[in-house]
Amino acid sequence: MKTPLAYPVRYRNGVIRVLDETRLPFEETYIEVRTLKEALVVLKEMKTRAFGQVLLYFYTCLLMENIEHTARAFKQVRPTFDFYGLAEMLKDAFEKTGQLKAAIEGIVNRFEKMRRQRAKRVAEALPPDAHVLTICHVSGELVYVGEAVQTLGKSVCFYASETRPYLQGTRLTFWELQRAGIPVKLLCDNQAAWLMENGVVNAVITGSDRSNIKGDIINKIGTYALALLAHHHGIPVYALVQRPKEVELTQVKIERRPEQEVFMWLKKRGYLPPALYPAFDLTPARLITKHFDFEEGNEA
Amino acid sequence: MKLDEVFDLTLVWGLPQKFEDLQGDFLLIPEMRPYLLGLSLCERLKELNYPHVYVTDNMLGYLFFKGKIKKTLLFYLKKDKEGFECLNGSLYVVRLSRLHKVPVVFLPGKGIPKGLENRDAGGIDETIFVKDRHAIIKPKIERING
Repeated sequence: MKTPLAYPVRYRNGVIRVLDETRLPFEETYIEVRTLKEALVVLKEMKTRAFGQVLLYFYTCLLMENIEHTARAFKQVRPTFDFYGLAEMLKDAFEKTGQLKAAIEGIVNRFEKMRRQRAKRVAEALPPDAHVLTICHVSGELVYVGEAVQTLGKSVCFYASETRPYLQGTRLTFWELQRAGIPVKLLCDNQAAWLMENGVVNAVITGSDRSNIKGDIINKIGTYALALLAHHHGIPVYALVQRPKEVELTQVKIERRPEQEVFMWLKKRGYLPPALYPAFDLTPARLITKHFDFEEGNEA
Repeated sequence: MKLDEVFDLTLVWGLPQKFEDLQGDFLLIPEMRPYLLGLSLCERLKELNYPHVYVTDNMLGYLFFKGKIKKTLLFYLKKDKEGFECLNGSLYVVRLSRLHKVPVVFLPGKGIPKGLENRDAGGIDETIFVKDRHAIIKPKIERING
């Protein structure tokens, strides 16, 4: 596997090993999780997120031998993410297999296969000489897209928006694409409009934490601005979504992270001003050109 | 600070020549990457006792979407017949303002302070994440039509 971020959480002999994303790109270290409490700390401290939090949830269910209580606990820490949806999925699989471990392995293997297939469909949608702006990090899937693009005989260069304050774009997306040998450039979040205005990028790809049947998505803060600017410039926006639901996303509680995290990675200063930190934003369906669901046929 | 506690914000982009231009408003100060101009600006605003709140640049879209911003003050570097020369990121701010029908007021501003000119997305303060400078989009002076 070209990127450890495609599968950042693993389970073996009663221990969950979590790739500590907050230490990247400087060191590749793993945290061992043995209890629900430890799993919640990992989640709260953003040690893993995106696909990592899905894996962490499943494996914590295995540790706890409990699906619903674990979902409630996870949901309290990360209200934006649909852990109840994952719980339903796991309960269905458990009913069929009768074994929690087998049910989880089945789901995770199916996810991996679907992510590969989705990457191929995304690659097909991209122009022959693709210059793709992206934000935050979609758990290794852009590496898959890059590989699929090359298989199709097209070329691609990604433009990773740094994604303040955690810098997932810099520390994760840029790092993993460069490590995989896929062309990538890094920009400050505020340079997106200049790139679009000057014809440097011709597509935008974003992940999503939540999505609904209408096509609205909730994703990392800054996604809405990119989609709006792209729409203004006639640049297609492709959203990677999973299991859209009949839900009004404006009613979903947007996670407000601790104010001091806005200053993450900055050196200490005498005065830190009052700050706002909405961690996610909502992008309306009208700004998204195409949604790529895990399962082909559910796409709009 | 909670989002519900802020409204009618005046967004500031760039460095003002005259701080009186900022008087009387509740000021929204973005980080202004890669130079982090927002932090030093906030220090001055604190001294002047001007109310202000800080965000990273990528949070601006959400604040526009939520109708929290009533006006944008854009401090330009140079003015000519066709428009303005402005700091890196100004186009992002102006486009977002105009797409949300928020008025933009152009005012004369100051340049990047000495010692900060070589900063880019590859690092923040003293932490360098990306050493391959060819892979970094360099900050630009951005032209904006008036």
